[in-house]
Amino acid sequence: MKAVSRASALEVEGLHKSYSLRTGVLSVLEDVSFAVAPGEFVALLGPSGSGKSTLLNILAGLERPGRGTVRIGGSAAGLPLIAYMQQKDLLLPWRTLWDNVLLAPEIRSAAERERAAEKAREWLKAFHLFEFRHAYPAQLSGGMRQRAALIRTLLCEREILLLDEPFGAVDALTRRRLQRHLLRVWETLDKTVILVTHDVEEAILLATRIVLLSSRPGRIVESIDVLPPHSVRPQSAETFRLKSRILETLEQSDAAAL
Amino acid sequence: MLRPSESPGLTAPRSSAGTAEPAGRPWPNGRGAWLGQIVYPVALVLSLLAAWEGVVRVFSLPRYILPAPSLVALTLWEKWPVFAAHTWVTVQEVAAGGALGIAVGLCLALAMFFFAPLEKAFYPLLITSQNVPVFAIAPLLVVWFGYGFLPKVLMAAIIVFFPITVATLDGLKRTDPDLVRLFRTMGASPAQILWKLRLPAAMPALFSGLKISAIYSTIGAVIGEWVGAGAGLGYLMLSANAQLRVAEVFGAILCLTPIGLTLLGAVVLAERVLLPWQRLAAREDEPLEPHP
Repeated sequence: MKAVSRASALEVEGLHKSYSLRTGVLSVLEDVSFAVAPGEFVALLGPSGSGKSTLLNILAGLERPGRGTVRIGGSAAGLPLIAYMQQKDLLLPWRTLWDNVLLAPEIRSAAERERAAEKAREWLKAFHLFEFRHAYPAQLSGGMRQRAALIRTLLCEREILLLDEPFGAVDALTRRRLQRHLLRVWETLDKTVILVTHDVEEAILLATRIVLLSSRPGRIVESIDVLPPHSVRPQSAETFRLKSRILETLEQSDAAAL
Repeated sequence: MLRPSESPGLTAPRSSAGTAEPAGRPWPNGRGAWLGQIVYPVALVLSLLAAWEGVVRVFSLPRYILPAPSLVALTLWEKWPVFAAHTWVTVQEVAAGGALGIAVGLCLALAMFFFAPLEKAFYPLLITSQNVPVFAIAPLLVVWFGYGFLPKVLMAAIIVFFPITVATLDGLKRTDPDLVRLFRTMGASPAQILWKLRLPAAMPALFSGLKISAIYSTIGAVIGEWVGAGAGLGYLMLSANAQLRVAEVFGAILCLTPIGLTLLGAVVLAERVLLPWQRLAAREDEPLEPHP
């Protein structure tokens, strides 16, 4: 296990978010509070419509919280503090793979891009993409594109990675492979990962802690510590029990909401 | 504007030992298609010319009504310095007008994109302006700017700028908002978002506009010459027509068409060189894996 220091990498307190619609006010998040320690791998798990993506958008600084505070590394949430990856690979079709993964350093400066080239080479090799670095995204499969998107996210050089259902759009086999890549990244680098997913198994396999969100308005139902990723045996009775317990909890919160 | 990639050219990546995933696609062999694209139209044109020649000869049509293609060719051959001089005048007008039209179209599209009130104010006017026939504007330009080079350039620019403006504005607007958000999480400045994202994303739309403009670019210059000029292919057509030298009218038309076609060819070539990724994207008609 990794060393977990006292100070939180990320702290959310009393977060509320609602949207005003023509038909009234839609409350999406209600009194959400949680903290993530540096180096932790937290999965946010909840049914669709539990405000997971809204929560990530707020953490990423793309949306303002209605009420409550978000602190990242001790300071107020801001844009350049986290790296954000979505279900869509969002690779630029007019750039080669190489130019795509180097986007974030390039935005910082030309010198940064130069400096990041070595790391880009290493990651592309590690993810079996190096020989495709001159290809355009349209020439690659969905799994390859998603791997490239993950490398681009890493080269943002941020302490916290926010992953919004990053493997939701690929087939089961590719997803498994991508999950292994992600674990490798998390183990190699000292990053804090927050993964949004609605896949219970994915949460158990990857995370060190699972935070359960109820359906709308999203509330934190439970926070469960899980075995570190590599000690999880997918077929064990223990994993099965954990899975049923999570599903039950989610179902109950769903029934309570209705 | 578009960052040249490190790759020397396009190479379709093959599946390597490390990955079992499919990559690239077999390139459809274009040679046979190319041949057909040339052979069939050429054959059609040749048979039409032969029919024309035959009709003129069989019915002994007078040359001031319909000259035979052979006479048109002969006229072109004998008077080529005249045709060349007038063609050069028109080419200059089209080039200057085209450049002006592209510049105005791009600026207008960017201005309308960044200032919503400007778009609301300009767009209806822009559409309405295209309903006014250019033939109606041409005499006014002569009144204002005389018989020289300028009114023809303006006429060409008026024809060219509209497709560019509409296409570019459309392209800028259709930039994926998720990509804009991605750039913002990376800390990109508005200028970086424009240069690295919005403009490259609008390029395919801009090129669609350029293709339409290239085809129509000569129309403006020729109409400008019809209304009042002392040189140019439009002037040559009008004066030859007045003197019933119909072979010369056809000669002028033959000199005019390659101008537009050359421009179109240049646009297509530029698109291939500058946006090589676009043809790859277009080929992706059967996605290998589901992706949104």
